[in-house]
Amino acid sequence: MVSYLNKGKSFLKSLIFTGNWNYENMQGSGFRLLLEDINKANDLNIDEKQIAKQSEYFNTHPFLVTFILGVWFKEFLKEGQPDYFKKVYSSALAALGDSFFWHSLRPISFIIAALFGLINPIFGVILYLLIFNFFHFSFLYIGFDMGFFMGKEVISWFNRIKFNKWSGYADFITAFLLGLLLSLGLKKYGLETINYYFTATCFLLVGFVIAKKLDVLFSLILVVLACFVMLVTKGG
Amino acid sequence: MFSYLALFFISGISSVDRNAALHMMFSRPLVLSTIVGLLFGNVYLCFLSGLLIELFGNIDVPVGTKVSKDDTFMSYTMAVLISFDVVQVLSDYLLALLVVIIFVFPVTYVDVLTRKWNQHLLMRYLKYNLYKSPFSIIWKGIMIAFLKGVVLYNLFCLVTMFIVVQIESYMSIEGNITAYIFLMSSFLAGYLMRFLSFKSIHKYVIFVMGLVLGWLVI
Repeated sequence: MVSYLNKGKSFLKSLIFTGNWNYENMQGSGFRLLLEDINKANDLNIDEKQIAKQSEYFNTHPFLVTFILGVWFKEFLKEGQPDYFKKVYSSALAALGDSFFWHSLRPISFIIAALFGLINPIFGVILYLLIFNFFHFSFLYIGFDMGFFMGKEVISWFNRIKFNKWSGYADFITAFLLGLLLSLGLKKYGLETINYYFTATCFLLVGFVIAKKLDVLFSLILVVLACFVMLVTKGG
Repeated sequence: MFSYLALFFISGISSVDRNAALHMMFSRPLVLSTIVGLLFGNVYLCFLSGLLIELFGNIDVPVGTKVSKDDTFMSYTMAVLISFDVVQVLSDYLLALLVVIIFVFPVTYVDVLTRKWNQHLLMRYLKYNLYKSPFSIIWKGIMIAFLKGVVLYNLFCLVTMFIVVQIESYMSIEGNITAYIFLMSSFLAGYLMRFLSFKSIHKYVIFVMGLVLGWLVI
């Protein structure tokens, strides 16, 4: 349905569709923009009112929006009632996307980049961008085709690739690499004293304990203040 | 001159990447700090500073309508202060970090205002141009995010610079900055471990294995 040239254009527009993010319709304006584009490129002549209606509330994970677009067109051409599936999939993919991209992929990309960055910061940064955007671009690029091919059954594709388990696997690796990064950092950049290692261990344990009780920003303020006190009383 | 223009461009594009479009992770503290360090010097310290702030940013994630604290601003300002030698000793670093954390509140609030401004644009669009393409309001949203980065990030960066320079003339204590960065990172690592969705004792066992391996083998 979408030629390679148009697919490239749709892909680029899907990178900017969140430009009007707001509290009224969230990403609704962007969804309409993407939809209009495909409508024009394929001369589908969808009714103006139907298109205008797409400015209503819409919110999903931005990297999975093209899947919903595909489902929308498939269901529109098949039964003419795509909005129900748009609503269902927007919230389902928002939850799936948040869980994988924000909670898991970002930490794991960061930890890998940080580990390699200790050797060469530039290499680390390149690695970060490559790892994260590999998934980001892949999902955006194949999303429309997959959504259009599978229609309202697109969730079965996510089930087939066990997408909901990716977060768990990624977090497992992240936990290991975080331990590695911490001991490497403390060893390479820290002070070689018992006091220092003891303090670092205490900081880590306090972090574990209060993580679910106190907002991270306020905790960070307290830690910076604690470091200040240590510096003034004991010296650097 | 070129490098200052590049700095303005970086502040703008990182704000766009964070808030409005692209989402290609140029705005992540580790990436942004290192780029600023590459342009203006002290790339290692900028990288480590970005590492600390990114640990924080990985815990405060933008889910649903939640506006997470602007760690892009934090890392940009810290990297500029380090690169321009405003941060010279450990007390400067801690002070700058504290000031930046305080300024992150107004900067983040502007994110909320930006979304309200986008809402205003949308309401006008729905009233007067419903049958036209929404491209113009999307483009305006991106431009506003760009301007927010250029104006706000640099303004608060200058104010932070001024405060740190004023205070460092009264108080300047030398120390190992990287050692303290990893001390604070240890604390945030505790937070990040609790944040990871893998819920079981295995998560902690794996973490300790990583710690031990890093310590003994490498």
